[in-house]
Amino acid sequence: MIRLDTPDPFGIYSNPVGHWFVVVIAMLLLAFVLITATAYVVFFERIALGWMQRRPGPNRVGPGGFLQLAADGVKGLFKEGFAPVGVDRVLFVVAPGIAVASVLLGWAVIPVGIWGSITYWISDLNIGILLVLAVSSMNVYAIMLGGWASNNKYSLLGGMRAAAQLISYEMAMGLSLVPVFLIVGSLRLQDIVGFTVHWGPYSGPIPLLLLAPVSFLIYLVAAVAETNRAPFDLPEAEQELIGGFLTEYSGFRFFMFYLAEYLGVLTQSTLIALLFFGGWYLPLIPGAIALFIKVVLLVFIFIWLRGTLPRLRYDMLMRLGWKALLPLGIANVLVTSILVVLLS
Amino acid sequence: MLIRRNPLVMLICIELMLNAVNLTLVAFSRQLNNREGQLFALMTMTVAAAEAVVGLAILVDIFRVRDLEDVDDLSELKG
Amino acid sequence: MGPATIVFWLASAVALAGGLGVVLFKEPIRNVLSLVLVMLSLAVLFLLLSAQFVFAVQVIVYAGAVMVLFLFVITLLGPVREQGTVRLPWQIFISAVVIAAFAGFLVAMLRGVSYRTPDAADPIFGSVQSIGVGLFTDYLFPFELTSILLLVAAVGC
Repeated sequence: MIRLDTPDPFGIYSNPVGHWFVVVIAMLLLAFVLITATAYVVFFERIALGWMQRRPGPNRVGPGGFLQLAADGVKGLFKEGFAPVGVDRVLFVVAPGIAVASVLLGWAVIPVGIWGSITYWISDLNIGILLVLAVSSMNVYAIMLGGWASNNKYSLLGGMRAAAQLISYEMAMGLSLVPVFLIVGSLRLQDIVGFTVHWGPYSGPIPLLLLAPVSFLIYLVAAVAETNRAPFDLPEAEQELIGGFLTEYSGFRFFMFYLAEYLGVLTQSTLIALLFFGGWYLPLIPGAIALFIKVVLLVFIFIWLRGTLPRLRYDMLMRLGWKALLPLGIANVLVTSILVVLLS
Repeated sequence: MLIRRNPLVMLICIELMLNAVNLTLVAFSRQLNNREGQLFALMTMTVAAAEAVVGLAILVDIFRVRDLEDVDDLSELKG
Repeated sequence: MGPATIVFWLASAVALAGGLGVVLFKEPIRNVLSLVLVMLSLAVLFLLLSAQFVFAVQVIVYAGAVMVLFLFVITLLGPVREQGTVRLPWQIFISAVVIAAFAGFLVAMLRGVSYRTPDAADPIFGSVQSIGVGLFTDYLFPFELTSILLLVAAVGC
């Protein structure tokens, strides 16, 4: 729910119906904002990729190509949702829905700072970020079921790759966050963002990137793998698997998968900004704008990786996950816990 | 588990039973207001995860060697 | 009837339907998906029972990892339909008898039970902090045993 420091003038929260009304309105508002923002993440990516590859990118529809996404959306909505012969109808239709739901649900606990002490979130759970991890791990079902239901061997290969990839990277992802929890002593994102230090003359918020740099690196790699983006886009792999689990999807269902991927990029960028870059704290700049700047920079990093790195081979990906990131994560947890005990 | 003969389905059914136990444990931990039930449920989950991993690994190895649809096909080691 | 009650009945209905699906579907992939449904609705029930950490572990470990492994193995082995060959017909009869006996046992047990609503939980009940304190003080030995078990399972395969 929206927590304001000002007293509740109309008695909305004390009345259960009004409370639920506010929560539902907040959810709808958040979903609307997120889906619009996702469209602009796609636009940003196409412009930035065009710039990196010395080509114009979208520049026909609207001023500077700004309405390209609206045109694409209308096209996707009115295109025929084709399903080939032999697909498992139920699973084929359900899979894109799981993809979108799994990414949207995580936003239930992600707080967004607006101004000063005013923050906005839907729900305040004690487990905080564990919910985001849990829900985003449901994304793999969408990809696996999409691959299975398509009745196509390339789709199936894409789905299996997604499952193996997720199992390898989820461990590293969870382990990389443990030092953050150790330092902050809480799993709630509000506490992690509001973490303050008292070092001699300085007393105030500090980006956790300075205290847990290794965690940040592992988390960044795992987040790219979790969103199935290049260089870890093995489930799609246009060149080898003709699009992997997306091969048989078209029209609206394809757009749902597409939306889920870019919404995932937005979610992970926001999470990294909140976890490692101090969220909405930036000197002299109000909360919402500070967070916005950080998220845009992190989205740019995702795009940058896609623009520069070639795709990893499958065995290289597994080796990186199990033999590099996992031991590094365990060592990181060990060192951080020793330091936390020694310094406190 | 007595009627289904597919080894994979048998493993799935074991997971279902363990889940039922977990639900009871957590429900009673809430009713009696002690946390031991929840800790027990966590232990059950780890044991179930280990069991599923080992069981599935055995199954994949068996399926590599032969195609079977009934666990009774595997009773050569019967004493 | 508050929202919590509605959520409870919905989650229980979904869990029961999923459980039936696990037992009755013939294709293994449907079995696994029904089991995922059961696990997710059980997770919702855990949340209602203010066991937040168990909820998170249930979704991450069970639904997120173990079931993905099952699904992976099923896709690896390809679509196998189970043949309805009943080699041991008396097993159906025996299982019916056992089910009837167990159901009767349950009914007899539940008739003697008096219900009460649980005490209001304090805010830290079921939170990560209380679970962590429990795991690392009173139950350190079983905790270490499970970690050894997991190590053996990870290395042994």
